[in-house]
Amino acid sequence: MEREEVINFSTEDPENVNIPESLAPIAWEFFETLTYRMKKIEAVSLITECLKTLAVLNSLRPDFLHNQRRLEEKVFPLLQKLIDSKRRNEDLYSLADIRLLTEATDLLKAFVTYKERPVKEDFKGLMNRTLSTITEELKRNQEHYEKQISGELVKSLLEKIEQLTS
Amino acid sequence: MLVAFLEMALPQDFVRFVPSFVRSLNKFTDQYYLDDTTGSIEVALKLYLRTSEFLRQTIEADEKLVLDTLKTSNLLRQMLMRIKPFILSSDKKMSFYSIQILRSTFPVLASTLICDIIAANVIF
Repeated sequence: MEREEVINFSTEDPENVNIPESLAPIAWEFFETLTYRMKKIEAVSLITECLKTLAVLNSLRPDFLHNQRRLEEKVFPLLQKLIDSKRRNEDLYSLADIRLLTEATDLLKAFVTYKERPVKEDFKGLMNRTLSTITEELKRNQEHYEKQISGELVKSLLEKIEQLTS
Repeated sequence: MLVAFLEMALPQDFVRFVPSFVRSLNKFTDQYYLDDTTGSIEVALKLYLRTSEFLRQTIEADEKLVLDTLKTSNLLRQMLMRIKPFILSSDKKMSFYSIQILRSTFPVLASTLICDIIAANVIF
């Protein structure tokens, strides 16, 4: 009987349990879906949208991405994968890539500066190494990025990375 | 046409109709969920997005109005569960709309006055 009840559960069912918090349970239900979406590295603009969503979530409930090291273990490796694949193929960053990296840098900054939950040193080291890879690439082809993409966007990204790694 | 109408509507005027509108939209989505040859789901996602944007804008200006209208997070949960599969859609536009809908609902869900009410058989 109990088993059937679980199977037949629907969101239309009458309520009988009251949880005094809505965002965290719903974010929990969607987090895996968002990270799965981010695995498709060819859809760069969608990864940026996912990062924007995580940034909003982080601004409202900073603990969420810290709990279970969600950002360190689930989100950050996806970013590394994207950067590594660009470096391996010697691809230049596109405008969409620069926007994604800017969004990721903003999220990382908000994440590491949350005073209630200090970030572990091993992650800081990993993050700094990844960010320096981006800086190297941007500086190596700076002229191309300034002419072909946007000087302001690239400059702002470099400044953000510098602030975060200093 | 409905999308164009919503573009012109004022968020605070529309909010009181949100529960009945979302329920109708849910029925519409369920109808075309498995067999969508006319792009109906894309229209539904546009309408969900507009609705969630209205709620987000209104909660910034008049939190009480939104909370009095929604009361619990159930309605938003029903809406979000319908858009969830489209986040992984191969159609980038559908995925884009779905992620934006989710993002717009976060500030509403973050309100400490909205409770998450679910059926007990999920827990036990």
